[in-house]
Amino acid sequence: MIKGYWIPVLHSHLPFVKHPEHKNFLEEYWLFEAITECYIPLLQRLKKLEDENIDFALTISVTPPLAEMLDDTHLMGKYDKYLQTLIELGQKEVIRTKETEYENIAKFYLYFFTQTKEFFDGFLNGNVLNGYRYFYDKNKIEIITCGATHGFLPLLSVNKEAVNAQIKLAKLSHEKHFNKSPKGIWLPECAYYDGLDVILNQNGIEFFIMDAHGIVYSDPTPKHAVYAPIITPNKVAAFGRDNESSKQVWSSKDGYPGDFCYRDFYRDIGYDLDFDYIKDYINPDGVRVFTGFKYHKITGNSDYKEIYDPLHAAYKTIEHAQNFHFNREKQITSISSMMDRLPIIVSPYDAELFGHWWFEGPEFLYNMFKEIDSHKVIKAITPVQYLNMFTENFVANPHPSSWGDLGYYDVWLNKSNDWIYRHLHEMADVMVESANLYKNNASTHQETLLNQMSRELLLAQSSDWAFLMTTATATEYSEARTKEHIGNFFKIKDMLDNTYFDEDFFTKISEKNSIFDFINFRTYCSM
Amino acid sequence: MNLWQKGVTMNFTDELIAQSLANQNGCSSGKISDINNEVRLYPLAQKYNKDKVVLMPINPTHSFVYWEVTEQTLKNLNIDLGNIHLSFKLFDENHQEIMEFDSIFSIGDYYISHKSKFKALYIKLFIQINNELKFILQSNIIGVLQNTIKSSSSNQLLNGCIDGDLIYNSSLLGVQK
Repeated sequence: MIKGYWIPVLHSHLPFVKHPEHKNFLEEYWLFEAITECYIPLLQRLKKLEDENIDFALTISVTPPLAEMLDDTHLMGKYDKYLQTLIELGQKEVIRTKETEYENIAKFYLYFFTQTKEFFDGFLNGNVLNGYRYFYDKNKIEIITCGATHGFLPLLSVNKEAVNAQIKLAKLSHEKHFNKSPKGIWLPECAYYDGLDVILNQNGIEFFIMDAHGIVYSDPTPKHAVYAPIITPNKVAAFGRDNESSKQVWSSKDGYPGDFCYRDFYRDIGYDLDFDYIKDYINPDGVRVFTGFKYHKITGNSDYKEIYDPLHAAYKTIEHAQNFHFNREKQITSISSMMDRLPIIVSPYDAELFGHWWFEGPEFLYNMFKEIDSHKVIKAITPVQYLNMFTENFVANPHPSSWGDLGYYDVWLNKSNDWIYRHLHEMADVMVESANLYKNNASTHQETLLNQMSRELLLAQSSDWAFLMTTATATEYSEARTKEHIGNFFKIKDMLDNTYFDEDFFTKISEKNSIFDFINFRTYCSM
Repeated sequence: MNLWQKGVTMNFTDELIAQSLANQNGCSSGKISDINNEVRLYPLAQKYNKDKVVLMPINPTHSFVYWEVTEQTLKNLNIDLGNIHLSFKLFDENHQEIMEFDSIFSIGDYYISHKSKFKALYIKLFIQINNELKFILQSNIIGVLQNTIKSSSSNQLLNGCIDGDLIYNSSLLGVQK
């Protein structure tokens, strides 16, 4: 008998990074690593579940910048070369490690990357989105959208057209890539502010995900806390994160990914091997980087590391899936006794955790669905399926919040990044003024300029830049990107105002910042 | 069998809330303590020649304001650029003044500490002319982020529930140990 529901949600996002001006660009590898370690392994496990006739339901956000990159010919051409290089390195490694203790693990990586390429070229036909579409069309996964460029909406909301554009363009991007309108949205950073539900509703969004306190502090207090969704006054459902199941995966102290037999993230042959040997597989400027060949397991808390055993680690994921299932069943049984309907456990995670930070994460998910399928006491569902079953839900105003550190907006507004907002707000104001001015009389040339201005604004708004400034990782790149888009925006505006055209400049930025080929600047007209 | 199936009417909201907040780890992202202190490595021109005061919420007890008063406005008021005295007054939803701060800069920003009991906040910007305050403009209105359970007796549940134990960095964007 089904005792309750589990709604696993994976948030897949990377900022739009495309540098056609460089043959190799370090930040483009964020995408290539994610495809190789996260997206393809996940899709491979979903296919395996389907082949084995095991029931599953998964909600996945594929953000518009990610979808645009996965669909970009230039980037996918580079990805193909990236994979070929990994296979070449794998072949070299098998030879280098022959008859050593590393021989088996080297063979594992050669197999892993070869299989990845076969899946990419075969089932995916060279486009990762094909895999998502395959399961989406079969109603096995629910793909939801996100802000158009993952803009942190509460801090952009001084200009409501800016927020509307983030949502409206996200919807259009979803329709372009998945041939249907999104029913749900992963609000960037789960960040909500009062009144956002109006814009969501206007764009046909039926549900979004919040952190637990976003639901618990709602007004009035929801009867079922996070174990049932609430409905906002503007008729959008909000689902709240369950902390207990989150912690089992997220926690660096108690979470599964920290098990000593799992792969160690930090030890990588890009850093470990002689420079002369590895130089062709690291950054061309000689900077050592991760190659993806990681030969050690976590082993313990010291620097001493033993050789990674993928088979042993795979068995461990079965154990962890059983533990996760046991705890969910226990949790659901406890909660059910206090509810007048079957509870839901919503477990949202960054998709990139599964495979990148936690190499065995996709296998864990696969085993988790197998556990659910064999016990049949918990049912994995999507938010849409829940809302179809339970049409009456508690009406409340969600609590403005985020899933960032401390639960509010601190991560995206602090002394490291506060300088950006003056510019982002001014750009949005100028964009709205320009859209209003030209909406009925723009020439083709002016329309081209205004559309690129929209792109530059959207790319500057990405919450990733503010996040990276806060965490002091890739700070220089984040600041440079922000400045670049601000500069590009006002230069195009100057070209528009003073009727000149810097063709070289415009060609370069159009090729580089090419997100959303369908964009229409009129999206920014006053609401 | 669930209690509701037995026909027992009880309010379990507090218990459910307690469970919802247990293990609250609050984040998937980088820690605030990691903030890079080397700020503004690349200062940008911050002058758009528009009078503006913008207020932004950060958390239940802090907000951020930035402003610009244009040279043209100062000129119209016969104020010398080197002798500016701006006064900012923070008001709540009942238009009660909560606090005041001053600045001698025509372009700037400021972090405001305030209580979370207010529902809304906004700022009025004045300029001092001959020891009198002349109103210049008003900011947008923000809702205060209130971290309270609205209709439960269990507000004590909130204390200490965010334990900060985490975290795998949320994405591929760099590595944090």
